[in-house]
Amino acid sequence: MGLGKDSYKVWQNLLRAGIFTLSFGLANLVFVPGAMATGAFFQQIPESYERSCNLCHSQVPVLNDFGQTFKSSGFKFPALTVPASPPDATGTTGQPAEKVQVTVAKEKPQAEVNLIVPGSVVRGEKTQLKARVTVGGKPVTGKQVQFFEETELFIKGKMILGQAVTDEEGIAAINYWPRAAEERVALVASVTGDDEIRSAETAASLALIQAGSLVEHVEGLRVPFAGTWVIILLVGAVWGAYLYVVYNTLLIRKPGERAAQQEVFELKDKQQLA
Amino acid sequence: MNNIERRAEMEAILLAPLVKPRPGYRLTMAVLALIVAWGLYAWAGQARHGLVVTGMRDQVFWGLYIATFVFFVSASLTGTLLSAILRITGYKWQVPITRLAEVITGGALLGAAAMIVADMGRPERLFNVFVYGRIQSPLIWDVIAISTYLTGSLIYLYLPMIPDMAICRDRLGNSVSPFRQKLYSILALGWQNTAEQKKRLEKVMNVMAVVIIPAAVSVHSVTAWIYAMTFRPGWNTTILAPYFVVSAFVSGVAIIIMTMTFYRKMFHLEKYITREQYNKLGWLLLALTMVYAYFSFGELLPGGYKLEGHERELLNLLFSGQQAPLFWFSIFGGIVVPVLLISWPKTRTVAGLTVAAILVTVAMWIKKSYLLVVPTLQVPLMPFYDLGRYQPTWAEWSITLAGIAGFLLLVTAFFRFFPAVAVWEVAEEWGRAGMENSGSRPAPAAQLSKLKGGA
Repeated sequence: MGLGKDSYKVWQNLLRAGIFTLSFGLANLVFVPGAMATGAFFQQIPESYERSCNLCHSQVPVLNDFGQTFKSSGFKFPALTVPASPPDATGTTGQPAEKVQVTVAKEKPQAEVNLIVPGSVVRGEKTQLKARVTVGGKPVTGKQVQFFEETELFIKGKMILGQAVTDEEGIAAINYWPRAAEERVALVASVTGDDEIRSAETAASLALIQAGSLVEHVEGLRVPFAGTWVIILLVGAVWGAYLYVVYNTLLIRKPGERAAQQEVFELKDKQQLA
Repeated sequence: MNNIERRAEMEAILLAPLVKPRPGYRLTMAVLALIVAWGLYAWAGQARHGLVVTGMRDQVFWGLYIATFVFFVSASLTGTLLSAILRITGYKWQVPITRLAEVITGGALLGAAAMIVADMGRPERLFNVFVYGRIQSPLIWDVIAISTYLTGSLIYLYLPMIPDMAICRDRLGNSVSPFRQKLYSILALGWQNTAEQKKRLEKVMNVMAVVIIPAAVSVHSVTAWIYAMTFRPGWNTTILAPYFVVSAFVSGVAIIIMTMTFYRKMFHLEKYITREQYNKLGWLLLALTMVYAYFSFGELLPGGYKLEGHERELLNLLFSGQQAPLFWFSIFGGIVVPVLLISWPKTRTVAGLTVAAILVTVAMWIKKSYLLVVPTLQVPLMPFYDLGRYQPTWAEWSITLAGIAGFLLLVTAFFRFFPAVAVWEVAEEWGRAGMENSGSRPAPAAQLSKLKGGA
């Protein structure tokens, strides 16, 4: 850049812009308070507990044991009993020892879950997934079971299919319409742990028969006998007429040739007579 | 003057431009070629830099090119109207101008195709239409309809030319180049004016006259459905297809009147394109303009009454907003003034009718092409969008004018090679009208040679 009057003005303006930007940025840092987010259940936390994200989360949004238990109890603090594992500052409970009244509970039994799937099912057709939850071989009632399908959409993960509660026979069931393009689909059933049982999970594979279309075209009108063939027929008729015309037009040549020959013969005859 | 002499005189007059062009012909061709060349230069720039050189953007994505495409499609109905519809209804007054009408049809359809290519940022992708086209798309319907109609129009243009090609083959001789002699000979298909040939030609022309009419109606309907199959205000209406057909009739008649006046003057065709053609076309234009006015009113009234959705914004834009001057010009200049000019005997002259036709043509381009396309796209469909802006750039104007000039160039060049009036058909009409038609006789050879030699 030169050192003339115009370039001096440009530098001046740049400097002003720079000072303004710096001041504005600093002001934001100093005067704008830090933003704080609160969890959905923050207001429900009793005063005896420390109000911190670490109460329920080991790492937001992943739940620790305390958080899992809070969730399975229907998100209610009064029904909550803190599990037996000793609290520590960064442990799974997230609650410092001097702040909480711990009720040491008995060790919970391990649940067993068995996923019942049919041998094979036609893709797109309804089927039923069942999971049987037992403890020590005995069925348990009223336990929440979640069903997942292992899938991959850029990354591998579990897609939730639904959830159900076990009945008297310990069976939870959901309806399922498999739509995967593969021949087999991996399914997972997971029973949520609570104050009575510990959580458990199992997997199974379902064979899919690839038949039919998954997409049902319901848009548009269904007109009897109407289809693309109607357009083809109409346009084809017009082009057929064109071909007929062209063919007949080319046939114009023959009478002309005959007439020309006839003229030649007549001329010859006249010359001979002459 | 008996029929033979009349025919000889007609052949001399109509074949003269084929031998030696009129003085203004070369200048006209030069000017048109220059406009086309400039348009090609602008198009090359557009092909290089993309459609950003135009005024079209994300909101108003159609502009001059598509408006002119619609105009050309409208203009293409003229041939069908005069040549086919009036033919099968038994009218004969239009015979001297059928050639003009059919050439305009073919040229207009080619012009329409050119405007579509101009509108494409990547013209080589035109072939994707044929490779990947889906039958559910109105654009594919338009491609099918236009190509079918173009083929039919070219066939229908050629058929009545066969006897005229024989006349050119027999009369012009060495007055034209060997190439043209050969061309006329091939196109004449051995025509000797025998009874069998006449019968066959009449049959195929009758078939084409019937087949071409639904093809023409389908072209205009399908072009309308490109717009009517959307949800945009002003386009989402069932009246659009018949509205397009009616306005195409109006455009067609107006264009033929203008063209008639120009070529009548240029080729001295006053004896063959007479006041009768002007009178009949004038009344036809009047009647069609009234029907068009009714359709225009019927198109605007329901939207104006309900003011549903975005209709209010569109109507405000047309009646009192940015597009108001053009809109009111198209109403007064395209309907009211032409109706007055045609209705009043003192202005129902060749000049008056030509002025009315020019006004109608310009108004049609404005109302049915530009105002159909741009204002609808200007109306914002999203709540936080402002009214769209569109200002055609020099590149757009250049390419559009080149398209129009190309069409005129094509038509004018055609009449340098082929007679502007269907000689054979006019002579046949004289014969049917009771005059003796005992066959052709060579035109005064001296007259043709003089023209060739430039003496």
